[in-house]
Amino acid sequence: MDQFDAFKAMGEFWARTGMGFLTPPGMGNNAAGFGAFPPAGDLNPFAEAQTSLTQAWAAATSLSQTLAASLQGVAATSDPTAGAVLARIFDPQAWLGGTSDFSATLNRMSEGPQLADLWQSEKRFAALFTAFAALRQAQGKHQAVMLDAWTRAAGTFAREANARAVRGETYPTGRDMMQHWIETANGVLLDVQRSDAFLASQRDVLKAATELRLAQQDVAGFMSDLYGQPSRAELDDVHRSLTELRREVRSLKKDKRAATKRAKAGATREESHG
Amino acid sequence: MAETTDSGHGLPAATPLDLTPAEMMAEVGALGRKMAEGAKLFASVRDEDVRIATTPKDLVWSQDKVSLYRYRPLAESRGLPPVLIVYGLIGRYTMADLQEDRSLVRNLLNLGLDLYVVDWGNPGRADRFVTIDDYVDGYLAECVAFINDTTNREKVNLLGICEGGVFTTCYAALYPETVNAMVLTITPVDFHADTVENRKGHGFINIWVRSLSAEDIDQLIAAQGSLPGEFMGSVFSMMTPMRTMTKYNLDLLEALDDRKKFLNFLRMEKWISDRPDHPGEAAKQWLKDLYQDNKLVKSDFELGGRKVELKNITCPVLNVFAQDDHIIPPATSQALRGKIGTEDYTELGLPGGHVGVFVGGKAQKLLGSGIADWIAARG
Repeated sequence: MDQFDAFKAMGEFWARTGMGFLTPPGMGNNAAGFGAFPPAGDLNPFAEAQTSLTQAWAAATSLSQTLAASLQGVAATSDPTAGAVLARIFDPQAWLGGTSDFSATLNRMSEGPQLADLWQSEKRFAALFTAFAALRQAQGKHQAVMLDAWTRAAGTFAREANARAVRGETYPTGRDMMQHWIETANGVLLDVQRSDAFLASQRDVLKAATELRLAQQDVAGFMSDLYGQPSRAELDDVHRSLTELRREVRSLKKDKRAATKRAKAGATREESHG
Repeated sequence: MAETTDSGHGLPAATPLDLTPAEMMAEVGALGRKMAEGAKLFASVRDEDVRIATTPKDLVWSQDKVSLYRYRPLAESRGLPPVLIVYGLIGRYTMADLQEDRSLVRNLLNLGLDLYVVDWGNPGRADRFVTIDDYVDGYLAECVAFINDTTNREKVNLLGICEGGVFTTCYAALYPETVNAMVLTITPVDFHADTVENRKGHGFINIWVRSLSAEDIDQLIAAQGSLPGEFMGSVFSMMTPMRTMTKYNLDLLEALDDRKKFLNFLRMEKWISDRPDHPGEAAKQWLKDLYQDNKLVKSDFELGGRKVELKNITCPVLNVFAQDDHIIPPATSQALRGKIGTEDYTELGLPGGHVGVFVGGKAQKLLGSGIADWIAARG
């Protein structure tokens, strides 16, 4: 089920549910106790809004396809650079990341030739911002995977709910309907978690977050050094030494304990022989 | 419930949610009452109402951040070798003593066992270079030596839980002469055996760790200095995605009209939130050597310069697994069968999930008596 179908099914689902709730069931529009609720005829604007929404989705999809097709034609025949730039503008991936040009500039700064005393802090900050931008981009891609999962779950749920309605099976309570949604969504999410797309995008987020953390530490280390404060790396060295020393002490204590035991055992043997 | 008439919008007559406005209002009203009662309950609960791990115990030994406790007896001793409970570094031993009526510790004490528990403390960034070698060959070996010296015995019984079970497995292979018997609970041995059953929603950590490269893990530890407890918490949450989303609304709401249920919920939350950081180098071994390279089951895992040969485990082994464990799928535990150097190997599959074995009404009672009877037969 693609996004359009999923939203169409959701629209239908909400229209049915809204109608079912607001229509005085089997009692006629004028039945006592329901007078305050609008008659079914008043739901026309709601249904029209749903229709507009689905039409807007269809129009958007169509527009996107038309643009893509026309851009391909333009790019091939006239200016390939302009075509490529336009294609990137209409690429939804760019909407999710949206930072590639910025990243490229920062990359040039951070990875450029090194000068002994110039731009040391600027280069580090550039690397930090690059890492930040990369993380945002990775998060965007991961969110796209999750959005796709949500769309599938919502579409599946709406389709199943609609099918139940057609069969005349209804949810006795709102909680039951919620439970159906939870189970449907859980099933889809568990499938998604095992997918290559999910695992790859999540791994990219983890890597990007790690790179950002290391870039932050590099800036902090540079500043610490500048102001004569101990850096993370120096503290790590101390902690490594401390751990090794503790290990040695433990080992010596163990040897001592074993030697004492051996001596005791030896003394006991001598006593028994003596 | 009445039928809905066709409204002229081209939709079939039936609706997914078959409620009248009156019924809908009644449901909303009931929800409102529940929330109001819940708010009152929340306001009345104090921290002391949700204390966990309350079984009395005394600190008997400590080194660096590691502490060894001995529980005070609750029944006449059966004269069996002491039992040392070893939890892992992911989570804390308090799970085994969550509350008075859901406590493996109390169940075992009531059955006359002499119980010790090791608490690994709260490793911080300064413990980045502490390894599993340090935990098994160092601290655990020291705890066993202390217990044997104090009780004037040559051997202890080990009770390993989850990652702690891996520690005791390694220890029993390296120092078989000091172990009388070993109980493993929800312990992974073959870290790739999640593929045996391949149950949906089970073994996600195995899949997730295998999706990373060794360099990803090295970088993560270099950046963090540890495997943060909070980070592991989020991985666990991912394993039950919708449960995580509904936990603090729908699930909590279900518990709000029952004070006992609500306090149980809060105690569990208290345990979950107490998730220590896993020391960096130990985390690398855990994730790379075990989860990725699966070295334990191949007897290829090295600690203290020695190979951990499973065949060297000669003490009797009781291997307890949870039949519906989504974190440690049963096959990853059951893989121990036939790999060790003893014929005295018993499996006990209990109903419930990873944590349910310890806190589920039926399972935790079966667990306590099952362990005590098995140890008594090997005293």
